[in-house]
Amino acid sequence: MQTDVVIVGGGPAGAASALFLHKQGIKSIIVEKEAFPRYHIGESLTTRAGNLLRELGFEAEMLEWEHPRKVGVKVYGPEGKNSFYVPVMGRDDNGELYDTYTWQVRRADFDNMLMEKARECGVEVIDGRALRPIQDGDKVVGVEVQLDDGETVEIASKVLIDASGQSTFLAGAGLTSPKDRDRYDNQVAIFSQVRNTRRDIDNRDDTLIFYQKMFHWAWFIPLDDDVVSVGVTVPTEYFQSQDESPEAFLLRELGELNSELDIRVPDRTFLEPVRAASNYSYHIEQFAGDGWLCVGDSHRFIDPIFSFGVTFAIAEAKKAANAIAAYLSEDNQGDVASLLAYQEDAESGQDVIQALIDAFWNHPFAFAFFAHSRYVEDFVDMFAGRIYMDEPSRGLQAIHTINEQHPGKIAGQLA
Amino acid sequence: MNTEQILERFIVDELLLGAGAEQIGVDDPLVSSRVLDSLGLLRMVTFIEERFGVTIEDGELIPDNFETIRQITEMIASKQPTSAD
Repeated sequence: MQTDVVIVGGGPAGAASALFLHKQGIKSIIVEKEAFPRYHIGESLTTRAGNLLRELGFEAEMLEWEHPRKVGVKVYGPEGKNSFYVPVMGRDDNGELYDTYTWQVRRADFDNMLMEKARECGVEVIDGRALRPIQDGDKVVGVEVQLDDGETVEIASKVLIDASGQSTFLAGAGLTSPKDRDRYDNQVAIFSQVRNTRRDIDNRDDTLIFYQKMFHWAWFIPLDDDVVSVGVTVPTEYFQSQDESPEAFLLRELGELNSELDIRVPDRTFLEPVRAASNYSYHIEQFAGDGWLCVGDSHRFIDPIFSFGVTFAIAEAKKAANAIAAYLSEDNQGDVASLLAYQEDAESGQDVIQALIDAFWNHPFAFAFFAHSRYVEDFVDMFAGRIYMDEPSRGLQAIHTINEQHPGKIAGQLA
Repeated sequence: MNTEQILERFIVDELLLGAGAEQIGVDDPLVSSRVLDSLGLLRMVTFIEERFGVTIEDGELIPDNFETIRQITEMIASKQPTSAD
């Protein structure tokens, strides 16, 4: 079997890679080990993710699914007070901000929609587990796959995309630089779904974030008119010290974490088994090379607080498709420069969100002043996902200044 | 009124709305004692910049710099041209 690009993983990073490659006229095969639709956490999208979905032609289908439309994010601080609001806003061709909306999605449906669209575009989806990349010297020339019936096949490719998410396929194979634990590694998220919540009359489908102490926060993400995804993220040490089952922990935290959250979720009957995700934060520095690159969670996962998971997946998928088109162009002669440029570009966007999250926890006062007063538009831009900057905005420079002049705690150092 | 008095009046009249102390000493803790909440702190920065015509730099926006009226007064003074210039 052979193809231009073989994609390991059929989540948003993989399916969007296939769709953007299709737009470039490049053929791909997706290898997916799980049967879709399948559950996944990470339901809130940014402005950028919404616009990329529109670019891929999904607007009508997204509306048909009746995914809740998100026009902003409200953040509630200690005592349920000191909230601030970040509207979902785009920028037009003249650089002017305009009101828009993005979505919150049940990932099982959403991810399946992307995968089905890829199939419609002629992308073959192979049900199986990627075992190892096939190399010719330093160059990756394919992947060995174990099919669901146990048979092993080789798929020859010009480029391999690792879109395996937190499985980090290529890091596991030793092809990337080592997978380093990152700053929010000692965190655990406990989550489920509830109904009969109290939502605002205006903007009732918005994402809400609540925090109390450092690194101790909760999400409230409407999934339809009734059901809301709720989750609590805390230092692992704190979770362990409570000595509670995940259900008991989530139940108690929904009442205690923030007075506003307590009011918002009066009915704590969980509609889904309570799930937990722990030690999720990692970072891989070198994630592209001759004939291969990583997209989305397969090279870095920072922290879920500002809803950037799907955004990184789809934004990097587009950048990867452009880089691969340049790499495969007839006059390129195997120069890996475009793939390495992709790596730098993707990393720069992730670095912005890392800096934003660091400042949010360590410098809430400065963060609030920047976001409320001094650099309002720059913060709207960053939350919207306009994070790939030629020159850092003044708001981003301010974040770097406060982080550098007053280095704070990082989650792993709390203990 | 001098700078210290202006700051005290602003805190008592505008931020505490008469609901807190009538007087605040120049060395009384504002932030750690929670006399000022974070919203109050934000309004204080805007007030200082507008009233005294100075700029609080990005890197100066840490609560420690606003702990007492004396500290804030010294920060403002350091930003204003002295009359000897």
